[in-house]
Amino acid sequence: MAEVDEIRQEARRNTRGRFEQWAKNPTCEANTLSAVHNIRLDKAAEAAGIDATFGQSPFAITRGNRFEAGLFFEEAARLRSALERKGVLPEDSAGFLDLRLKMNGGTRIPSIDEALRETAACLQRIAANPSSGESIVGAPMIKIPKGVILPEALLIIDVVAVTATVDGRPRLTVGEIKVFSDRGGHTGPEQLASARAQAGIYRHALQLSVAALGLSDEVDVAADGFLVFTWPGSNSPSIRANEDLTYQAIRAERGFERLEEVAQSIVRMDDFAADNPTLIRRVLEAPTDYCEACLSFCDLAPRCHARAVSIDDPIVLGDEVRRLLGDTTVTRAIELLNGAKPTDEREQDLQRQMVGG
Amino acid sequence: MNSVRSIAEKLRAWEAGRPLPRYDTIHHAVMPPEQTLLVAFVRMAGESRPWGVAWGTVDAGPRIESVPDGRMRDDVAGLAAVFAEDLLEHMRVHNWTFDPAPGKPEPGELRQVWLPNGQHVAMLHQLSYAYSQTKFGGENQEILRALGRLAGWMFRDTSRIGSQHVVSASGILSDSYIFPAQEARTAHLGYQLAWLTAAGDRDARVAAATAAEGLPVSPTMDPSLERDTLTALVEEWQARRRAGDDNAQHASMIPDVLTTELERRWDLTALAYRVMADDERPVNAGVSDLISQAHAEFWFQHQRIELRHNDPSQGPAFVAHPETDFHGSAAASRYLVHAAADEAYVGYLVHSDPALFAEARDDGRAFDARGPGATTS
Repeated sequence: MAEVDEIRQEARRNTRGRFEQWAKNPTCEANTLSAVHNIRLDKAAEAAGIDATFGQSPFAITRGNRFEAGLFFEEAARLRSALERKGVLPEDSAGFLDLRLKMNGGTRIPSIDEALRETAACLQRIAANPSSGESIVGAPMIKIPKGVILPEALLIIDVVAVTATVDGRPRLTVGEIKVFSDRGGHTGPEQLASARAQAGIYRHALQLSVAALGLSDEVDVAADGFLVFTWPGSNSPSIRANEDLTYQAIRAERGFERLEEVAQSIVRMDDFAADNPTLIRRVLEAPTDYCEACLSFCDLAPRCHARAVSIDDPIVLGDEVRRLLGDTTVTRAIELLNGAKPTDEREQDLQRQMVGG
Repeated sequence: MNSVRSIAEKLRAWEAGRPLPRYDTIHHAVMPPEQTLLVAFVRMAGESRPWGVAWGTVDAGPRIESVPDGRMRDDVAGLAAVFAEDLLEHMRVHNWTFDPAPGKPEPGELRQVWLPNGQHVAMLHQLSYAYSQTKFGGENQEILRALGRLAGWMFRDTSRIGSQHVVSASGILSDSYIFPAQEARTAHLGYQLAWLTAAGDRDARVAAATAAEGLPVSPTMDPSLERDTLTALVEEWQARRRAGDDNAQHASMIPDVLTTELERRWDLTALAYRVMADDERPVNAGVSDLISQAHAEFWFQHQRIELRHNDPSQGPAFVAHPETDFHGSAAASRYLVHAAADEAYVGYLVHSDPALFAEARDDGRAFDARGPGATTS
């Protein structure tokens, strides 16, 4: 059972990553089970005899850690300066509360429980006395309550800026730190999208946390957030302020609800007592819904592609081909293209579209 | 977004078991080997500057240079300066060659730079950020700035429809062939080339393409290679450097790994060039107009400014910022240039390419006019 406990612990810590994985293909049951039970897809692929291809370079991890450490170094001086320049913080801002775990480069917080306690205490203190709040809070940790199926989850927000609203209430603005280089209008759209989506999850979770503490009237969670990227070729931060997270937060809220609903329909109660190999087997045996997005994240994609080829599924030629052909197989579509007589109105329409006339 | 026409063509390609020509003509200049520099980069994960560069013409083969640690900016600047000498000369940039490009060169004088894919093209932007206004570099500062300015222009010009100087090998293959595969996979140059060059039936080509897909082409290398091979070598090299010990052995082992990676990327680009150069279809007659436009862009947006830059009597030269021009009217002007290029592109090409005309007609961008005794397109 030790292994099961370890899995549960890991599951609690990796909520955001699992949610984003699920959101890439929410209609695939294997992906949903993997996300709910925190069964890594590379491990499932290994069990199925497929070489895992996704991973992270140690150089990239080191660079990310160094960049983040530099931002928080000396009372977050570098980050503060950049935030003030972009108007996220006022020019005379002060105070840095470092809630990073020691294992993550922090100086004070030894454990998850301590981080949760200090984060809650910080929110309560700010609500009671807005002027007591530090303007930058590094790595506050919050807890999302357990769902019917989904386990209780922990989220570590990269950074929160604390300012004041016009009526004097404290305002919390979520920030997401990424080592992506900010190239103005040429910044990778997928990088921007993933950073915004993650910030949206944090904003949603922070709002839940504030509400759970009964502080919704005292504390304002800003609708916008900020992204902290790197200036290309350096460790200097490039701030993207005023990122509207309204719809990203709604996406996160609906996504978690939807994940819960989907999970209820496919997760078996005995799953929660199952060991790792059993859960991997459950993932591998679950129905799949292969699409092009799977190629970007799922180590099981080669298996699904081979299945698609074997059943003549138009997805082998891409999402748009499948969208047009629907249930029609590739072979049948080619026959229609070559003048075969349609058997129904659907085929007739398809032939008309493809051949013209 | 694929049109129904292109989906039908994709089905035809699947039936044929190989990629099919997308149009009746090639829509891009493919210059002779001596006028075509092939360039490929690798970089350390998380970094934006190159760790190594391979460059050379198809006939001469690549020159491959790298540094032991891609995070050492002075070393990388030295590497970039060596690369800059050849790139600036190849592009005939004023002050860096005895044969600078004139204001109105002939279409046949076009110089091209081919890169494996869009991520390598984006490295030009990274070079622009790093060097166009650098205050470092010592004796190399001037050439690094020249490299930054040229790389910036080259990158900006790729967003102008019909540009001819910089070619993404993956992009030109996608423009020229219909691949019987998912779009997400056909962005991979190795995958495309395996489909195009492997022998055998569809299954054999699928197998070859799938195998080729496993080897990365982007400037960022396979994380497992960095994790299992390069990390230890770089750490050892750094440790010895800090201790003042001899680290020459490690300094040579790292380039061995990078050379293999660079060679593969460069070789794929060379193969893409050969595929395009050997394609039996003619280059569209309208491409010569696109080349003339490209020459004019190079002259007015880069070479003319370089002339001014190197002539103090002409006053301060404008150095484009890699991120924005900070100038509303200049931005508006460039917008109109790009909009005009976009609008004119099909117009230049459509009259020499029946397949393109058919596609334009299907999309509602062209029509046949038939009258007594005359047919007009």
